[in-house]
Amino acid sequence: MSERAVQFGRTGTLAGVLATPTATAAATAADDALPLLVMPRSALLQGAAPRRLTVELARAARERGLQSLRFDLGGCGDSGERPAGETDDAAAVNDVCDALDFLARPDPQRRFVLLGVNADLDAIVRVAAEDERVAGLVSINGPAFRTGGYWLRRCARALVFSGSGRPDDSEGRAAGRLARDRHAFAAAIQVLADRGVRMLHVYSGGATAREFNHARQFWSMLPPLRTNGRLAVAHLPGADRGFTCREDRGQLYDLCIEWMTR
Amino acid sequence: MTPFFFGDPKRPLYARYHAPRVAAAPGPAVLLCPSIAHEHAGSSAALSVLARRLAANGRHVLCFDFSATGESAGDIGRGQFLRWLRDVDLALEELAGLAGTGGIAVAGVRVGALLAATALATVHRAVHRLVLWDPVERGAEFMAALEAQHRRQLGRRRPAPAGHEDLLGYRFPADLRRNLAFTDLREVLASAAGPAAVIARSLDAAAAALEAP
Repeated sequence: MSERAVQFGRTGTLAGVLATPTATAAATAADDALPLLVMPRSALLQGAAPRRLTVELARAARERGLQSLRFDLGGCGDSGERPAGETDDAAAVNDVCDALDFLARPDPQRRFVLLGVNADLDAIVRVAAEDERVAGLVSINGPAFRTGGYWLRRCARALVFSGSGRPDDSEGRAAGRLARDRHAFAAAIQVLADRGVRMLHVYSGGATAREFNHARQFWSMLPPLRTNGRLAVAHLPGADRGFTCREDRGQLYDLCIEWMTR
Repeated sequence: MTPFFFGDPKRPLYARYHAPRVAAAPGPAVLLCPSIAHEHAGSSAALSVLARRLAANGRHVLCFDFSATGESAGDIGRGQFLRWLRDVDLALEELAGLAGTGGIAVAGVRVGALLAATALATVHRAVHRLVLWDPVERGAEFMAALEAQHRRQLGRRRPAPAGHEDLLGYRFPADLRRNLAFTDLREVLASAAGPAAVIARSLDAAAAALEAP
């Protein structure tokens, strides 16, 4: 077991778990330049998150030689209250910056991949846009906007599968500014791409299919972008929004880790 | 609050220790046991509120995650039920070391309450008070409700392959299902020689029971 409970941040009350690869996994990875995965958890994911998604991902990443930090944002889970006078948005950004400062202390050259779950990506996108240490961003079930293609596919599916009744998982979905405004979302992606940040956007099926039902939809839901191959989109239609099935979670972890170690 | 891992270094348990925020009040230190599976996150959040309140009133409080749940190490496997009972004993030992003398009270939520009561009936460790917050009274009913919810949510779309052990994405091997299904809180309490258990139906009631002199 190579996990350590840590506390850090401007008030010293942000709580998280730092997972370090075993010597064997680190040797197998044989790449000191691998980024460190940072998973901030907001109110919806506080604690270990449903089905221990962040815990399982951290442990799967560790087996492949990747170090990670999962932590609760201020006011959530095991972390202390946010400092007085900070808005929710500013506090979340400061918390993510605090995490990077904490992790970069032993190695200032260290690069990071930020991971966000559900549509509330605002804080990590803002940090990724401004902090040179951020080399990548993974979004799981991030912002989605319906398109003409979406409606065609939805209608076709309704004709073929009428009455089959898709189950509806009930994981909550936060709505940050980027999830409400496609132009703001596109602009943020462009800024990240221009800065050289690699991005992976993963969408599931289940309740997410109410907004997103094909990988191509990502490109058609946004104005034209110049990403120079830095942006990858994956669609896992068999998974529900909460990745309830173990096999779906395994697929998600493999996808993320493979992308990070590429 | 101080987070840390304790217990077997190969399978450490994650815990949050809340030191007294005022001079330690007379009264036992408190061990808090969350629920498991889909109830873990919600119960853990509720116990955090309770822990802060007790610590603000001068109590030492330790809240831990059962092995293979929350942040604790391990994956659920065979013998899990007994491992969870041993976890309660390990956590009691850890809290005794942190709080020193003064005795210990134990509180659990839902399945955490059932596990705490069962563990205390078997480990024979002196505990001053046992508070069961909205406890699962019959493990069989909990398992039946979990299986029904699993069928509602996933059964139609994703028929479980033979030997599949997961319910709502959490592993429940056959022996764990059996052990939970055969555990009845009333029988456990009737067989225990420890303190009388207090059933609480709200956070205020649980806090009042734990803070009583």
